Order: sequence, then C-alpha cells, then structure tokens
Amino acid sequence: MEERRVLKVLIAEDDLMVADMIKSALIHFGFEVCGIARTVQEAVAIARHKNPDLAVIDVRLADGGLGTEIAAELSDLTNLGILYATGNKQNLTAADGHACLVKPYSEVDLIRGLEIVAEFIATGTVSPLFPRRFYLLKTPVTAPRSLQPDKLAEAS
Amino acid sequence: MTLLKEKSDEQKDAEAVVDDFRQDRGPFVVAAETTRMPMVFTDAKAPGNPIIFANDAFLALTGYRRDEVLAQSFNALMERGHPESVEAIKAAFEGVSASDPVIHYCRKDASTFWVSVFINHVRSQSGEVVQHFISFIDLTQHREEQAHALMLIEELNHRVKNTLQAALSIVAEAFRHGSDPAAIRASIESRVYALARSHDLLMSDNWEGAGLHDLVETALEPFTDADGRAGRIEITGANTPLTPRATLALGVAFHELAMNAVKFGALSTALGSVQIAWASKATPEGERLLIDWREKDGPAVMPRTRKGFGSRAIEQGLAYEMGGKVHLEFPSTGVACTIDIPMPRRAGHE
Repeated sequence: MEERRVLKVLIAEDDLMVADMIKSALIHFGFEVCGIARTVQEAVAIARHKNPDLAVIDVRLADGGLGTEIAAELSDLTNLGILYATGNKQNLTAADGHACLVKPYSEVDLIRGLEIVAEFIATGTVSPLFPRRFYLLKTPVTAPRSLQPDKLAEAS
Repeated sequence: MTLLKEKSDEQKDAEAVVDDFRQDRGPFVVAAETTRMPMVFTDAKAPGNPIIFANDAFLALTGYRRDEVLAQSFNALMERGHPESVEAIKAAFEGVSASDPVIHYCRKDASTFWVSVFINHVRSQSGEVVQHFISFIDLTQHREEQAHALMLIEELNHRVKNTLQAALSIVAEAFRHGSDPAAIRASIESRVYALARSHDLLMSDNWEGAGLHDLVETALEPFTDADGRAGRIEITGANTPLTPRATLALGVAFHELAMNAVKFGALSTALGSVQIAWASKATPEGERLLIDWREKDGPAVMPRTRKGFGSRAIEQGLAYEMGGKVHLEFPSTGVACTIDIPMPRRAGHE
C-alpha cells in the first residue's frame, strides 16, 4: 500500500499555549509543521517560503491583524486548505477559507477537521463524520449522500 | 448691537415671554440659567425656530458664545450635526418619533459629542405651540464607557476561549507523556493553577499586565510556602510594569523553572537555593530586559533528552511570544537560565 504523503501545515496563532498544543498534536498525528506565525505578515512569509498544504489559522492575531487577511493575501495558492481555529466563527464566509473549528476543540477534532479540509482540496467533496464545533465555509461540489436530507428522504 | 436691530417682532415677543418668566418665576429662571443641564428655548412661531434663550450649560456643551446662538435658527444650528441626527431632530419636533432622539453633534471647534435631546412644546392658553423648550443630556462619556465595556467583553471572550483551549492542551499533553494516573493528575493540576495565577495577576490590574516583581513572587509562591523554602529564594529587581502578553508568557516560564527546580534542581534538596535577578539594558535596538535564573548548591541536573512541555514553554515560548533569546543550561553547579527579551514595558509607564 502506498504510504500517505506527509502533509505540511502552517499554524497562525498568537497564543503560545494554544500554538504549542496545535504543534504537538499535529506532530503526534503525523503531520509536518512548517512554521508557527503570530502575525499576518509572518504567516504570509512562511506560506510563500514553505508552500504548506494546510493552514490552521486563528482569526485574532498579534498586532491587531485578522487571520482572514492571511487567506486574502494567499488567495492565489488554490491548493492551500484553510481551517480556522478560533473563538468566534461570526463573519467568516466561503471567501475566507474551507472550514472553521470553534475553540475550545480537542486534538482529535482538530486532526479530523484538517483531514476533512485536505479531502476537500483533493476531491472537492467531504465525508462524515464531522467533529464537534466544526463548520464548513465552502459548499462541497457533491455532498455525500448522508449530508443530503432530501436524498435520504427519497431513499426511504 | 447689530444683532438686536435684526430681531423680528416675533422674536422680541418671544423674548418678552422669557423675560416675563424671569419676572414672575425668578428662581426658576435662575435655576435654568445655572443648572448643569444644557437648555434652550426657541420661538416656535418665528421662521427657522430661532433661539431666544440659551443657558450657560448649553454654551459650555456646544462651545458657542451666547451672542452666536441667540436669535439664530435652532434648525440651522442643528444642521451642523450628522445628517441622521438632523432627521431625528426634525421628527422629534413634528412629534412623529416615539422616543427622545440621541444625536451626534459638532461643537463650534468641530469636535463631536453625543447628546440625548428632549423637546417639550410650550403652549399658549389657546393650545397653540408658542415655544419649544429643548434640553440635553451629554452622553459622550457614557458612549465612550460603553465602547470600552464592549472592548473588554470582546477581550474577555477571547481570553475565555483561549483559556479553555489551553486547559484542553494541558490535558492532552499530560496524557501523551504520562501513564501514571497520579502523575497525570498532578501535571494537569499544577499547570491549571499556574494558568489561574497568571490570570489573577492580569485581573488585579484590570488586565493591563502585572509588575515583574509581583509576577515572579506569585509564580514562585506555591513552591516557597511549602517546606521552608522561602529563605532559599532570592528575588532582586524592580517591579517593572509588563504588558499582558509578557505577564502570561513570563508567568508560565517562571512556573516551569520553579517546578523543574523543585522536582530535579536546587529546590529538590535541603541546601540548594535560587537567585532570580533582572535589569534593563539600553542597546542600539532599544531597551532590553535581562532576566537571570541561577540555581546553586543543588544536585547536578541532567538535561532531559525529550523536550517536555516545560523546557519548550521556557525556550521556545518566550522566544516566540516575546521575540527574545533564552538560554537554558545545565552546568554541574545548577540550572542556569538567561532570558533576553525586548523590554515589554506598558505604554504610559516610564
């Protein structure tokens, strides 16, 4: 069986303990952390240099910056999967990224959230199960059967 | 006085009515003139609704002299405010608004303020509206306080979420590196308490950050109280006011250093001691804060092969949060940690 490619992840989070937790969880579950950024500028610089597959982004960053500014600056990186991990999902739209996980979240929920975003990037679809406090920002091309209530109704 | 010559007959009549007030109800007019509540009377029957009385409080609020407002159209004066405010005033005059309008208005010097406006109609015996009595309550300070309160609530929300997240990360970390339930519990408890103490420090100063001396004492408190260690910890340095970020980051670092000292270092034996000292230093890149943690007379400490949460929090954490340099060394004389960070001094403190 072909071994899965190690996915590179950028972390944008201004809280030390939270950033540290994300990093150790990612490493523990077999991801590669290509950088931790505290500000929008740092995140953009790391992304340009390291070309990550995924980004875990907090909305409120140091120096008053917003995580959504990172997504806007990197909008040309169409293969970058963006998962917001934030205290407040208000005001996030499809233009900002792929999904959002609301703090506090557990490690396994973070990992599952990233898997869903990676799947979205690779196939345009997503499969259940969704973690707690997880929300898709973009609509999948073809939602899986279980996510389409009308299809379920037809089938029964 | 050219102003007086320009007065219309209606104005003169209206002023005469106010004069009558003064004659008939002297104390009330004196009260209106001297109250801190801004008030004006206007002539409802003259075109443009001219002001026929303005008290000192109104002049203080708007920054105009009395001769700049008397006989001037109240409506024209209000048009210097924001357009929606002008609409709100109009509606209130016409009696179509349900509540007293709150308007954003400009002073003579173009600075702005918020007021609640109360409009009362003064009627003649036949029921005709002859004057408007308009009073104001200055809401500027109230508005500013509201904005500040909102900002604090937002900050609180952010911190609560991050604190819960930190608690989850503490639990995950403890389970990843331990298998003994007692050790896992001790690890979780001690770090949650450390987090709580850091927040206590922030709270005690309205979340503006703590003083460095207070911070070090608080971080070491759980380790000094027990087992007579108090005399073996020496803290030397000023109570420099720190930013909230520095308070949290340094609070975590000192906690980890102290916990390490109690478990493996100078505070794990009866004889060892710790000296903590700091000073500021001017450099071409700006003022720096140099903190020195030095353990003495303890057992030789082996650097742990696995970088645990503690040493990561100290080395990477401080460097990451504060943009500084941290050296954690394990000479045979005892653990030595030097922290070199940009002075995280709060604005407004020299």
